[in-house]
Amino acid sequence: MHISEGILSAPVLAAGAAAAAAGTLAGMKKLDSEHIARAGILASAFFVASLIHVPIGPSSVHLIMNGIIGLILGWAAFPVILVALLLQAVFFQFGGLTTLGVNTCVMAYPAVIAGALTRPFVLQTGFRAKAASFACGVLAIFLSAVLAGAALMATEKGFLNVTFMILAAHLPVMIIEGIITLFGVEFLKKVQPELIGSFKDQASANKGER
Amino acid sequence: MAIFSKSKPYRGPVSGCCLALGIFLLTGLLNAATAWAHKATVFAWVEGHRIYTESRFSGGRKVNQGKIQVYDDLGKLLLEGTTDAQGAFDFEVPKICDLKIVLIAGMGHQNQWIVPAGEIREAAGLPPADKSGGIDSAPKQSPGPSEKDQPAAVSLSPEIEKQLEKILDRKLHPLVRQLAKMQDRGPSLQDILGGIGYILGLVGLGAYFNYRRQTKGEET
Repeated sequence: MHISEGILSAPVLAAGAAAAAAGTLAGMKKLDSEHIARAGILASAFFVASLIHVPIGPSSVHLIMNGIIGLILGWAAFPVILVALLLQAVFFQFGGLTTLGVNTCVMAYPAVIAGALTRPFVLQTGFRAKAASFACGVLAIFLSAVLAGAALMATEKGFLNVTFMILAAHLPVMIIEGIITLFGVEFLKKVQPELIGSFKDQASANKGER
Repeated sequence: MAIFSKSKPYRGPVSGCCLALGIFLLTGLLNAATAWAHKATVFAWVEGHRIYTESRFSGGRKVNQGKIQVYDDLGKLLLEGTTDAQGAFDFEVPKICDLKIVLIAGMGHQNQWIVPAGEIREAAGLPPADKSGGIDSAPKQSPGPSEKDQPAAVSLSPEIEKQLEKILDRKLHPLVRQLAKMQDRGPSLQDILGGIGYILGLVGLGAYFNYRRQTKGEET
Protein backbone atom coordinates (compact mmCIF):
# COMPACT_ATOMS: atom_id res chain seq x y z
CA MET A 1 0.00 0.00 0.00
CA HIS A 2 3.06 2.23 0.06
CA ILE A 3 3.15 4.28 -3.12
CA SER A 4 6.68 4.83 -4.39
CA GLU A 5 8.30 8.10 -5.37
CA GLY A 6 8.07 9.38 -8.89
CA ILE A 7 4.66 7.94 -9.78
CA LEU A 8 2.18 10.54 -8.63
CA SER A 9 1.78 13.97 -10.13
CA ALA A 10 2.46 17.11 -8.12
CA PRO A 11 -1.22 18.06 -7.55
CA VAL A 12 -1.99 14.62 -6.12
CA LEU A 13 1.07 14.82 -3.87
CA ALA A 14 0.14 18.31 -2.70
CA ALA A 15 -3.47 17.34 -2.02
CA GLY A 16 -2.31 14.30 -0.09
CA ALA A 17 0.12 16.35 1.97
CA ALA A 18 -2.55 18.93 2.79
CA ALA A 19 -5.12 16.30 3.77
CA ALA A 20 -2.55 14.48 5.88
CA ALA A 21 -1.53 17.72 7.60
CA ALA A 22 -5.18 18.48 8.45
CA GLY A 23 -5.69 15.00 9.87
CA THR A 24 -2.45 15.16 11.83
CA LEU A 25 -3.40 18.52 13.35
CA ALA A 26 -6.75 17.08 14.40
CA GLY A 27 -4.98 14.05 15.83
CA MET A 28 -2.36 16.03 17.73
CA LYS A 29 -5.07 17.76 19.71
CA LYS A 30 -6.21 14.38 21.00
CA LEU A 31 -2.77 13.39 22.15
CA ASP A 32 -2.65 14.35 25.81
CA SER A 33 -0.39 12.76 28.37
CA GLU A 34 -2.87 9.93 28.85
CA HIS A 35 -2.72 8.81 25.27
CA ILE A 36 0.78 9.59 24.17
CA ALA A 37 2.26 6.36 25.49
CA ARG A 38 -0.27 4.13 23.79
CA ALA A 39 0.07 6.16 20.61
CA GLY A 40 3.80 5.50 20.67
CA ILE A 41 3.33 1.81 21.20
CA LEU A 42 0.81 1.57 18.39
CA ALA A 43 3.19 3.53 16.18
CA SER A 44 5.86 0.94 16.89
CA ALA A 45 3.38 -1.84 16.13
CA PHE A 46 2.44 -0.22 12.82
CA PHE A 47 6.09 0.36 12.00
CA VAL A 48 6.92 -3.31 12.49
CA ALA A 49 3.69 -4.74 11.08
CA SER A 50 4.75 -3.79 7.56
CA LEU A 51 7.57 -6.29 7.88
CA ILE A 52 5.16 -9.14 8.40
CA HIS A 53 4.80 -10.46 4.94
CA VAL A 54 1.80 -12.40 3.73
CA PRO A 55 3.07 -14.89 1.17
CA ILE A 56 -0.35 -15.57 -0.37
CA GLY A 57 -1.82 -13.87 -3.38
CA PRO A 58 -0.49 -12.50 -6.64
CA SER A 59 1.73 -9.77 -5.24
CA SER A 60 3.75 -9.34 -2.11
CA VAL A 61 1.71 -7.68 0.60
CA HIS A 62 2.13 -7.15 4.30
CA LEU A 63 0.10 -6.40 7.37
CA ILE A 64 -0.98 -2.81 7.88
CA MET A 65 -2.87 -2.85 11.17
CA ASN A 66 -4.62 0.44 10.57
CA GLY A 67 -8.02 -0.91 11.65
CA ILE A 68 -7.11 -1.60 15.23
CA ILE A 69 -5.12 1.64 15.45
CA GLY A 70 -8.15 3.62 14.35
CA LEU A 71 -10.34 1.72 16.78
CA ILE A 72 -8.09 2.50 19.74
CA LEU A 73 -6.88 5.98 18.83
CA GLY A 74 -9.51 7.64 16.64
CA TRP A 75 -8.07 10.77 15.04
CA ALA A 76 -4.83 10.29 16.93
CA ALA A 77 -4.16 7.52 14.41
CA PHE A 78 -2.96 10.26 12.05
CA PRO A 79 0.21 11.38 13.84
CA VAL A 80 0.90 7.75 14.72
CA ILE A 81 0.71 6.55 11.13
CA LEU A 82 2.56 9.60 9.82
CA VAL A 83 5.52 9.03 12.12
CA ALA A 84 5.60 5.29 11.45
CA LEU A 85 5.46 5.85 7.67
CA LEU A 86 8.22 8.46 7.85
CA LEU A 87 10.44 5.99 9.66
CA GLN A 88 9.51 3.21 7.24
CA ALA A 89 10.47 5.46 4.33
CA VAL A 90 13.79 6.39 5.92
CA PHE A 91 14.80 3.00 7.30
CA PHE A 92 13.18 0.51 4.94
CA GLN A 93 12.78 2.59 1.76
CA PHE A 94 9.08 1.71 1.74
CA GLY A 95 7.13 4.42 -0.01
CA GLY A 96 9.02 7.69 -0.08
CA LEU A 97 9.36 11.11 1.44
CA THR A 98 7.44 12.96 -1.27
CA THR A 99 4.60 10.47 -1.12
CA LEU A 100 4.45 10.57 2.67
CA GLY A 101 1.32 12.72 2.70
CA VAL A 102 -0.55 10.56 0.22
CA ASN A 103 0.48 7.35 1.94
CA THR A 104 -0.56 8.75 5.31
CA CYS A 105 -4.00 9.59 3.90
CA VAL A 106 -4.30 6.19 2.25
CA MET A 107 -3.78 4.42 5.56
CA ALA A 108 -4.96 6.86 8.24
CA TYR A 109 -8.35 8.03 6.92
CA PRO A 110 -9.58 4.43 6.63
CA ALA A 111 -8.30 3.84 10.18
CA VAL A 112 -10.35 6.76 11.51
CA ILE A 113 -13.43 5.86 9.49
CA ALA A 114 -13.37 2.13 10.21
CA GLY A 115 -12.72 2.82 13.87
CA ALA A 116 -15.56 5.32 14.18
CA LEU A 117 -18.04 3.13 12.30
CA THR A 118 -17.39 -0.05 14.24
CA ARG A 119 -16.64 1.31 17.73
CA PRO A 120 -20.27 1.43 18.93
CA PHE A 121 -20.73 -2.23 18.03
CA VAL A 122 -17.31 -3.29 19.29
CA LEU A 123 -18.26 -1.90 22.71
CA GLN A 124 -21.19 -4.30 22.87
CA THR A 125 -20.80 -7.92 23.84
CA GLY A 126 -21.16 -11.29 22.22
CA PHE A 127 -21.21 -12.16 18.57
CA ARG A 128 -22.01 -8.66 17.39
CA ALA A 129 -18.88 -7.24 19.01
CA LYS A 130 -16.73 -9.97 17.50
CA ALA A 131 -18.19 -9.41 14.05
CA ALA A 132 -17.65 -5.68 14.41
CA SER A 133 -13.98 -6.13 15.35
CA PHE A 134 -13.47 -8.39 12.37
CA ALA A 135 -15.26 -5.92 10.13
CA CYS A 136 -13.08 -3.09 11.43
CA GLY A 137 -9.90 -4.85 10.31
CA VAL A 138 -11.38 -5.76 6.92
CA LEU A 139 -12.98 -2.37 6.30
CA ALA A 140 -9.80 -0.42 7.02
CA ILE A 141 -7.84 -2.38 4.41
CA PHE A 142 -10.72 -2.19 1.94
CA LEU A 143 -10.91 1.59 2.24
CA SER A 144 -7.13 1.87 2.01
CA ALA A 145 -7.19 -0.08 -1.24
CA VAL A 146 -9.89 2.20 -2.62
CA LEU A 147 -7.95 5.33 -1.61
CA ALA A 148 -4.72 3.95 -3.07
CA GLY A 149 -6.64 3.24 -6.27
CA ALA A 150 -7.95 6.78 -6.31
CA ALA A 151 -4.43 8.18 -5.85
CA LEU A 152 -3.07 6.00 -8.64
CA MET A 153 -5.91 6.37 -11.10
CA ALA A 154 -4.28 9.24 -12.95
CA THR A 155 -1.09 7.31 -13.61
CA GLU A 156 -2.33 3.76 -14.06
CA LYS A 157 -5.11 2.17 -16.04
CA GLY A 158 -8.19 3.77 -14.58
CA PHE A 159 -9.65 3.83 -11.10
CA LEU A 160 -11.65 0.58 -11.18
CA ASN A 161 -8.83 -1.38 -12.73
CA VAL A 162 -6.19 -0.35 -10.20
CA THR A 163 -8.53 -0.60 -7.25
CA PHE A 164 -9.61 -4.06 -8.27
CA MET A 165 -5.99 -5.17 -8.60
CA ILE A 166 -5.06 -3.79 -5.20
CA LEU A 167 -8.14 -5.32 -3.61
CA ALA A 168 -7.40 -8.72 -5.11
CA ALA A 169 -3.82 -8.56 -3.84
CA HIS A 170 -4.93 -7.55 -0.37
CA LEU A 171 -7.75 -10.04 0.04
CA PRO A 172 -5.67 -12.38 2.21
CA VAL A 173 -4.40 -9.43 4.24
CA MET A 174 -7.98 -8.26 4.81
CA ILE A 175 -8.98 -11.59 6.27
CA ILE A 176 -5.84 -11.91 8.37
CA GLU A 177 -6.21 -8.37 9.68
CA GLY A 178 -9.84 -9.03 10.47
CA ILE A 179 -8.83 -12.03 12.55
CA ILE A 180 -5.99 -10.16 14.24
CA THR A 181 -8.29 -7.24 15.05
CA LEU A 182 -10.89 -9.67 16.38
CA PHE A 183 -8.47 -11.38 18.75
CA GLY A 184 -6.65 -8.18 19.60
CA VAL A 185 -9.87 -6.47 20.61
CA GLU A 186 -11.09 -9.50 22.57
CA PHE A 187 -7.77 -9.56 24.39
CA LEU A 188 -7.82 -5.84 25.14
CA LYS A 189 -11.40 -6.04 26.36
CA LYS A 190 -10.31 -8.59 28.93
CA VAL A 191 -7.20 -6.82 30.14
CA GLN A 192 -7.74 -3.16 29.27
CA PRO A 193 -11.38 -2.53 28.42
CA GLU A 194 -10.97 1.26 28.67
CA LEU A 195 -8.55 1.21 25.73
CA ILE A 196 -11.32 0.58 23.25
CA GLY A 197 -13.74 3.21 24.54
CA SER A 198 -13.94 6.61 22.97
CA PHE A 199 -11.83 9.42 24.32
CA LYS A 200 -14.77 11.07 26.01
CA ASP A 201 -15.63 7.93 27.93
CA GLN A 202 -12.06 7.57 28.99
CA ALA A 203 -11.73 11.16 30.08
CA SER A 204 -14.81 10.95 32.25
CA ALA A 205 -13.72 7.59 33.65
CA ASN A 206 -10.34 9.03 34.53
CA LYS A 207 -11.93 12.00 36.25
CA GLY A 208 -14.12 9.62 38.22
CA GLU A 209 -11.04 7.79 39.45
CA ARG A 210 -9.46 10.93 40.74
CA MET B 1 7.84 -1.26 36.21
CA ALA B 2 5.82 -4.36 36.86
CA ILE B 3 3.22 -3.89 34.22
CA PHE B 4 2.52 -7.57 33.86
CA SER B 5 2.14 -8.39 37.55
CA LYS B 6 -1.29 -9.83 38.26
CA SER B 7 -1.33 -8.76 41.89
CA LYS B 8 -1.93 -5.14 40.92
CA PRO B 9 -5.58 -4.37 40.37
CA TYR B 10 -4.86 -1.59 37.89
CA ARG B 11 -2.31 -2.25 35.22
CA GLY B 12 -0.64 0.44 33.20
CA PRO B 13 -2.77 1.56 30.30
CA VAL B 14 -0.24 0.17 27.92
CA SER B 15 0.37 -3.35 29.15
CA GLY B 16 -1.96 -4.91 26.61
CA CYS B 17 -0.37 -3.00 23.82
CA CYS B 18 3.07 -3.94 25.13
CA LEU B 19 2.23 -7.59 24.86
CA ALA B 20 0.72 -7.15 21.42
CA LEU B 21 3.80 -5.26 20.29
CA GLY B 22 5.98 -8.01 21.69
CA ILE B 23 4.13 -10.58 19.63
CA PHE B 24 4.40 -8.46 16.51
CA LEU B 25 8.08 -7.88 17.03
CA LEU B 26 8.68 -11.55 17.48
CA THR B 27 6.73 -12.62 14.43
CA GLY B 28 8.32 -9.82 12.47
CA LEU B 29 11.79 -10.96 13.36
CA LEU B 30 10.95 -14.58 12.71
CA ASN B 31 9.68 -13.70 9.30
CA ALA B 32 12.64 -11.50 8.65
CA ALA B 33 14.84 -14.17 7.22
CA THR B 34 12.31 -15.52 4.76
CA ALA B 35 10.33 -12.67 3.39
CA TRP B 36 10.25 -8.90 3.24
CA ALA B 37 7.61 -7.08 1.38
CA HIS B 38 6.71 -3.95 -0.36
CA LYS B 39 9.50 -2.53 -2.31
CA ALA B 40 10.32 -3.23 -5.91
CA THR B 41 13.91 -3.04 -7.08
CA VAL B 42 15.48 -3.20 -10.50
CA PHE B 43 19.11 -3.97 -11.19
CA ALA B 44 20.81 -3.73 -14.57
CA TRP B 45 24.19 -4.64 -15.98
CA VAL B 46 25.86 -4.62 -19.36
CA GLU B 47 27.32 -7.56 -21.19
CA GLY B 48 28.73 -6.88 -24.59
CA HIS B 49 26.13 -4.95 -26.54
CA ARG B 50 23.17 -6.00 -24.43
CA ILE B 51 21.82 -4.69 -21.17
CA TYR B 52 20.30 -7.18 -18.77
CA THR B 53 17.84 -6.20 -16.08
CA GLU B 54 16.43 -8.11 -13.18
CA SER B 55 13.44 -6.93 -11.15
CA ARG B 56 12.10 -8.24 -7.92
CA PHE B 57 9.94 -7.32 -4.96
CA SER B 58 11.78 -7.03 -1.71
CA GLY B 59 10.28 -10.33 -0.60
CA GLY B 60 12.51 -11.93 -3.22
CA ARG B 61 9.54 -12.58 -5.47
CA LYS B 62 10.32 -11.84 -9.11
CA VAL B 63 8.36 -9.08 -10.81
CA ASN B 64 6.36 -10.90 -13.46
CA GLN B 65 4.92 -8.76 -16.26
CA GLY B 66 6.40 -5.58 -14.85
CA LYS B 67 6.97 -2.71 -17.23
CA ILE B 68 10.52 -1.59 -17.96
CA GLN B 69 11.14 1.80 -19.53
CA VAL B 70 14.54 2.95 -20.71
CA TYR B 71 15.31 6.66 -20.85
CA ASP B 72 18.40 8.43 -22.11
CA ASP B 73 20.18 11.18 -20.18
CA LEU B 74 17.86 13.81 -21.63
CA GLY B 75 14.79 12.00 -20.34
CA LYS B 76 13.68 10.73 -23.73
CA LEU B 77 11.98 7.33 -23.74
CA LEU B 78 14.09 4.99 -25.84
CA LEU B 79 12.33 1.67 -25.45
CA GLU B 80 9.85 -0.24 -23.36
CA GLY B 81 9.44 -3.86 -22.42
CA THR B 82 7.92 -6.31 -19.98
CA THR B 83 9.69 -8.61 -17.60
CA ASP B 84 9.27 -12.36 -17.90
CA ALA B 85 8.37 -14.77 -15.09
CA GLN B 86 11.96 -14.57 -13.84
CA GLY B 87 11.75 -10.79 -13.57
CA ALA B 88 14.32 -10.53 -16.37
CA PHE B 89 14.31 -8.29 -19.42
CA ASP B 90 17.21 -7.60 -21.74
CA PHE B 91 17.72 -5.36 -24.71
CA GLU B 92 20.30 -4.16 -27.22
CA VAL B 93 22.12 -1.00 -26.12
CA PRO B 94 19.96 1.66 -27.79
CA LYS B 95 22.30 4.60 -27.31
CA ILE B 96 25.61 5.18 -25.64
CA CYS B 97 24.86 7.52 -22.79
CA ASP B 98 23.74 7.27 -19.18
CA LEU B 99 20.65 5.09 -19.39
CA LYS B 100 17.91 5.36 -16.81
CA ILE B 101 16.01 2.10 -16.43
CA VAL B 102 12.67 2.51 -14.73
CA LEU B 103 10.71 -0.41 -13.38
CA ILE B 104 6.96 0.05 -13.03
CA ALA B 105 5.73 -2.94 -11.09
CA GLY B 106 2.13 -1.81 -10.72
CA MET B 107 0.06 -0.86 -7.67
CA GLY B 108 2.28 2.08 -6.91
CA HIS B 109 5.59 0.27 -7.05
CA GLN B 110 8.32 1.93 -9.02
CA ASN B 111 12.07 2.05 -8.91
CA GLN B 112 14.98 2.90 -11.17
CA TRP B 113 18.55 2.03 -11.94
CA ILE B 114 21.07 4.07 -13.86
CA VAL B 115 23.58 2.39 -16.14
CA PRO B 116 26.46 4.82 -16.57
CA ALA B 117 27.73 5.49 -20.07
CA GLY B 118 31.23 4.40 -19.03
CA GLU B 119 29.99 0.94 -18.19
CA ILE B 120 28.31 0.57 -21.56
CA ARG B 121 31.43 1.74 -23.39
CA GLU B 122 33.64 -0.57 -21.44
CA ALA B 123 31.44 -3.58 -22.05
CA ALA B 124 31.19 -2.83 -25.73
CA GLY B 125 34.95 -2.40 -25.94
CA LEU B 126 34.81 1.29 -26.79
CA PRO B 127 37.43 3.72 -25.57
CA PRO B 128 36.27 5.92 -22.69
CA ALA B 129 34.74 9.24 -23.59
CA ASP B 130 36.14 12.67 -22.76
CA LYS B 131 36.64 13.10 -19.05
CA SER B 132 35.07 16.56 -19.31
CA GLY B 133 31.63 15.09 -19.90
CA GLY B 134 29.73 15.39 -23.13
CA ILE B 135 29.40 11.65 -23.16
CA ASP B 136 26.37 11.90 -25.33
CA SER B 137 28.09 13.84 -28.10
CA ALA B 138 30.86 11.29 -28.57
CA PRO B 139 30.37 9.58 -31.91
CA LYS B 140 29.92 5.86 -32.14
CA GLN B 141 33.17 4.14 -32.88
CA SER B 142 33.79 0.75 -34.23
CA PRO B 143 34.20 -1.75 -31.45
CA GLY B 144 37.67 -2.98 -30.71
CA PRO B 145 40.39 -2.24 -28.22
CA SER B 146 42.53 0.83 -28.69
CA GLU B 147 46.12 -0.31 -28.45
CA LYS B 148 47.67 3.08 -27.97
CA ASP B 149 45.96 3.53 -24.60
CA GLN B 150 47.72 0.54 -23.14
CA PRO B 151 51.30 0.54 -24.31
CA ALA B 152 52.49 -1.87 -21.61
CA ALA B 153 49.84 -4.50 -22.22
CA VAL B 154 50.78 -7.61 -24.05
CA SER B 155 49.01 -7.31 -27.36
CA LEU B 156 46.62 -10.16 -28.00
CA SER B 157 45.15 -10.94 -31.32
CA PRO B 158 41.60 -9.56 -31.60
CA GLU B 159 40.30 -13.11 -32.01
CA ILE B 160 41.63 -14.25 -28.67
CA GLU B 161 40.51 -11.07 -27.01
CA LYS B 162 36.96 -11.56 -28.26
CA GLN B 163 36.94 -15.14 -27.07
CA LEU B 164 38.30 -14.06 -23.72
CA GLU B 165 35.60 -11.48 -23.34
CA LYS B 166 32.91 -14.00 -24.13
CA ILE B 167 34.28 -16.48 -21.59
CA LEU B 168 34.63 -13.81 -18.96
CA ASP B 169 31.07 -12.66 -19.55
CA ARG B 170 29.83 -16.18 -19.12
CA LYS B 171 31.88 -16.76 -15.98
CA LEU B 172 30.90 -13.44 -14.45
CA HIS B 173 27.22 -13.77 -15.20
CA PRO B 174 26.31 -15.73 -12.04
CA LEU B 175 28.43 -13.34 -9.98
CA VAL B 176 26.58 -10.34 -11.32
CA ARG B 177 23.29 -12.06 -10.59
CA GLN B 178 24.46 -12.70 -7.07
CA LEU B 179 25.28 -9.02 -6.79
CA ALA B 180 21.80 -8.17 -8.01
CA LYS B 181 20.39 -10.29 -5.24
CA MET B 182 22.53 -8.53 -2.68
CA GLN B 183 21.21 -5.16 -3.79
CA ASP B 184 18.01 -6.17 -2.15
CA ARG B 185 18.76 -6.78 1.47
CA GLY B 186 15.72 -6.38 3.67
CA PRO B 187 15.74 -4.02 6.61
CA SER B 188 18.21 -5.10 9.24
CA LEU B 189 17.63 -5.48 12.95
CA GLN B 190 19.39 -2.14 13.41
CA ASP B 191 16.86 -0.47 11.15
CA ILE B 192 13.95 -1.92 13.07
CA LEU B 193 15.31 -1.14 16.50
CA GLY B 194 16.40 2.29 15.33
CA GLY B 195 12.89 3.09 14.15
CA ILE B 196 11.34 1.94 17.38
CA GLY B 197 13.92 3.96 19.27
CA TYR B 198 12.88 7.09 17.38
CA ILE B 199 9.24 6.44 18.24
CA LEU B 200 10.07 6.00 21.92
CA GLY B 201 12.07 9.21 21.79
CA LEU B 202 9.12 11.07 20.28
CA VAL B 203 6.86 9.67 23.00
CA GLY B 204 9.30 10.94 25.59
CA LEU B 205 9.38 14.35 23.95
CA GLY B 206 5.61 14.49 23.82
CA ALA B 207 5.32 13.43 27.44
CA TYR B 208 7.86 16.08 28.43
CA PHE B 209 5.97 18.91 26.72
CA ASN B 210 2.71 17.68 28.15
CA TYR B 211 4.23 17.61 31.61
CA ARG B 212 5.64 21.13 31.25
CA ARG B 213 2.30 22.44 30.08
CA GLN B 214 0.58 20.83 33.03
CA THR B 215 3.04 22.11 35.63
CA LYS B 216 2.87 25.60 34.12
CA GLY B 217 -0.90 25.44 34.30
CA GLU B 218 -0.71 24.50 37.96
CA GLU B 219 1.71 27.32 38.79
CA THR B 220 -0.44 30.08 37.37
